[in-house]
Amino acid sequence: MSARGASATADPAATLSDKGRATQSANVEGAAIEPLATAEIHGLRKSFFRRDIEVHAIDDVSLTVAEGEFVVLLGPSGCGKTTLLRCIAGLEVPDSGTIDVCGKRVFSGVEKTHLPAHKRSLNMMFQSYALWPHMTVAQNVAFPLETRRTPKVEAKARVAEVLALTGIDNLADSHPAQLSGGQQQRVALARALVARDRLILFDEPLSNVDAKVREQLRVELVEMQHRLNFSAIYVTHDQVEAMELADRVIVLEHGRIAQDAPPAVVYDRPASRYVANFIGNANEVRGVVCEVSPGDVAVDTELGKLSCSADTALRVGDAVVVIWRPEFGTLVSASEAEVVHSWEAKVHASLFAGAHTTVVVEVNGLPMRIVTSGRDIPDVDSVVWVHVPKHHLSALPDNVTRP
Amino acid sequence: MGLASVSQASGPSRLGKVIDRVRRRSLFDIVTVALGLAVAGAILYPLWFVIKGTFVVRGRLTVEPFRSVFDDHSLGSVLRNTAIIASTSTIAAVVLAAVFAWLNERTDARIGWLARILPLVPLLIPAAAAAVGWVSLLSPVAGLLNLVTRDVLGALGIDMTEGPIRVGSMYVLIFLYTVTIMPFAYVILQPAFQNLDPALEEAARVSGANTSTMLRRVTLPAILPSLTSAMLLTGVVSLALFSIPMMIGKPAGIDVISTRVYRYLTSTYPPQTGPALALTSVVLCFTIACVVLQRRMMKRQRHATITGKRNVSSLVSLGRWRIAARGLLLSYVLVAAIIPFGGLLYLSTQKFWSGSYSFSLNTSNFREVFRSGGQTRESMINSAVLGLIAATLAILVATIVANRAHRSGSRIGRASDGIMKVPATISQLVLGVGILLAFSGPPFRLSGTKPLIVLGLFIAYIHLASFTANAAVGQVAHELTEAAAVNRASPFRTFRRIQLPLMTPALIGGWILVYVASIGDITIVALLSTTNTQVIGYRILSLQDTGSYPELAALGVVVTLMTTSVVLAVTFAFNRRTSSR
Repeated sequence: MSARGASATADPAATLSDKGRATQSANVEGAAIEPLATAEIHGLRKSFFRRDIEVHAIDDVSLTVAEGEFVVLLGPSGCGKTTLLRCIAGLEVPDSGTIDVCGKRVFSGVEKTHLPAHKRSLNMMFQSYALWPHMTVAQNVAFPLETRRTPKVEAKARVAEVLALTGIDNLADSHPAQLSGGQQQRVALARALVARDRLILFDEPLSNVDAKVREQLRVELVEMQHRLNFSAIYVTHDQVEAMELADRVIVLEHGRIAQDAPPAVVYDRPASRYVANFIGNANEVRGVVCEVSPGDVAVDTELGKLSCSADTALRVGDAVVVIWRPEFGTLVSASEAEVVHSWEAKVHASLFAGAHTTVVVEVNGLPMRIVTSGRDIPDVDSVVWVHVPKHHLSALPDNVTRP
Repeated sequence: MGLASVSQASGPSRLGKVIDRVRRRSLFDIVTVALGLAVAGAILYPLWFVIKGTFVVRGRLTVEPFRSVFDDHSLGSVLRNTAIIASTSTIAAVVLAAVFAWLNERTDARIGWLARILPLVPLLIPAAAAAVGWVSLLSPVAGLLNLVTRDVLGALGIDMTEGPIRVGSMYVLIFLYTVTIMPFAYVILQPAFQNLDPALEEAARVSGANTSTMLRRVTLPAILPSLTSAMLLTGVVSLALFSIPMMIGKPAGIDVISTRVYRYLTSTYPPQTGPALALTSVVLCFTIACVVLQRRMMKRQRHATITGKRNVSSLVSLGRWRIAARGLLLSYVLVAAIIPFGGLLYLSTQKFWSGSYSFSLNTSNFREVFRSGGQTRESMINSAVLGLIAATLAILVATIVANRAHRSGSRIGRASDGIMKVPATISQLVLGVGILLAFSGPPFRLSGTKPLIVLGLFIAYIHLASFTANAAVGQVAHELTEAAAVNRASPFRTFRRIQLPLMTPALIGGWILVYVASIGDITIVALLSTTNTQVIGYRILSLQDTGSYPELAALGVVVTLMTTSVVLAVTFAFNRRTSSR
């Protein structure tokens, strides 16, 4: 098993990589070194004053990033994700807690240790790319090697190699001002990769390019990470990006970790309504817990008694919200309708999106979305039956505000 | 930063703690701080001498000098003159500079290399030389333009014995002030327009704004911080200007603060340092307010910063206004440089300055200027060398200190950065007296030496370097230096490889400012220069004193050619470097 087993996730599903990266990493140079965490953060806090009001940008955050792991920090703007990244980079000084990078203590609030950014073994890709306008592409990319005193001949070869890898070898002598956004992106990526640091930080690096380029760069980034096996901490507010890139997604809410789990777990079993609503769409119905059994609860709702899975400890009488993803619901005919978790619904609209169709229906005055990949779309105003399998219903405490 | 890079048990003694803190810093940090402290000392030490001399008379604290100033009834007119001239010329200069910077950087009216150099033109001709040029043209009796005008009017039957234009009028003074200080505003506004993201203007365009709406609603607000900086710097320069009022205003009886302070310091022996300082405190208060304001603005917003994502600018098409705009640019060169230089040329070829004009070429004045072993020749060589040293030192020190003040927010950095602006606030004459008093005697004993003149020019003009360096530092986006830091570049390497190259265009502007100010200076050198260490400014004053206007004009021509060649050489060398990118 890969070093990912050392990560802080609780769910056993976390150790299963849907991308098969675990088996790959063993072949790559560098993985032979004993697996150790490339970044370890404990009890980190940072607050600052904005117009004399104290803001807790980071509020007791602990996390571990394993060798070769791709961790995405996800959250809306102002949730503290960029501040956290900048603290790891050494560009900002936290108030308390500890940060270790590649086994070395770089910050400790108690010991008053703060290693400045240029003494930490990591690299970073900035949102604005931060390419130096007075240097050519090749000079920009060669800079990290220059600071590490790499011999000139070797540096030249490595710059050529990484430029080829990022597909911009023909631009080596251009200046950043002459490049398109996507090209500047690749230069920034090449500069972050060239020194082969074990840990690379990404601060929303894809937010400035158009969707098509963004999609392609995401694929390339994943491939690149496979190949070079660096650990990545990637900040984004785009949940699709987070899902696609991450081995593990850390959802942040007001400086705290709302959930830390693999993408599939975050999606299928959100830890809170905040997470459920931030990541993807969810149908919701309020209710009250009426029966409790291990990992399973029954909830009284407008839709009748629903039996749902629940990860958090719930007691009879707790107010909950039952959520399920639109694609887990199915449209069936009256004859196919099962006894449990099936309701008669009226079709309000259908939105065809090529790969799938979103059908908006109403059950007892409750709006609901169903996503189907089939072509058998019912007419508007027709009556259908909606069914949601039991294991796709999750009951979450009804005490968290929406994001 | 309170946290140290390496945690070590520090000694219990205070000295131990200090040593420990010093040891934890990088060499670059230590050098920077030492440099800041040294400059602060070099500026404050002479001032302390002067202030002590003002308030302490025979070992007792006194306000006597202030009383004598306010007993002087002519002071009202001095303050009024200064206020009128400084305020009108500052506003005119900043507006003109903004229009020029916009035309040059953002519209199709720009005229290639000329567009870039054009607003620097008045820098090419030192203010004192330009003043002599204007005197030779507009002197009421013997001025060439007046002579020609009277001849034309005489042919029409209107007889006059002098005029019609008097060089020593308020209008001419304000006009010459504006022309002289405009470049100080331009060097701040030009980079602001150059680095303004064109997308801002384009967004306004596509939102249906015409050119004037776009300028008013988008461009202007975006460059507002730079505009304010330009206003403050130009205002300070205008208040402290000495050459124009000395050469033109004073002979005509128009006194401003600077000429009055000069009178206090030179017309009596011993000099009346007390009243001079009391009068200077007016300027001082204004400038402290300026410094505080500029600092606030810089902190609050940085609209026009260079981001890592730079795009090729698109130019605004002016249509039929393009010709008019180009005409404006060209007419400025004419008024600011070519006409006064023409006046200098004309006078320098006259054997005697008389009420009639002839265009016979007489080279005797130039022969005198270049005469081997001659005083004028020696003064020019001295000025060229000493100015070069002072300007280079000033821009280097100002950049390093400004960088420290901005990046690390260190108290020592900010304090020394603020102190570097103090010389702008003190009348240069007072500064000159202070430097003379402080460094002539023991332990420095620099009296009558060239290092004293370099030190004087350095202290007197470091604020020009400092203002430009601050603007330059503020323009490099934080992410660019952070990107270097995460790539293991030490603070020194980040400074050398990233910040310095990016700031170079602005810094070259600052260097030129200091160099030209040093060469054209007559205020500081009037006090620090001696017959053994003659420089141009000292020579100009003695030639004016003896009424040798034709030789003075010849000196003006040569000095102008000197500064012009330097400015053009530096500008072209730099242009080639940037265009090859």
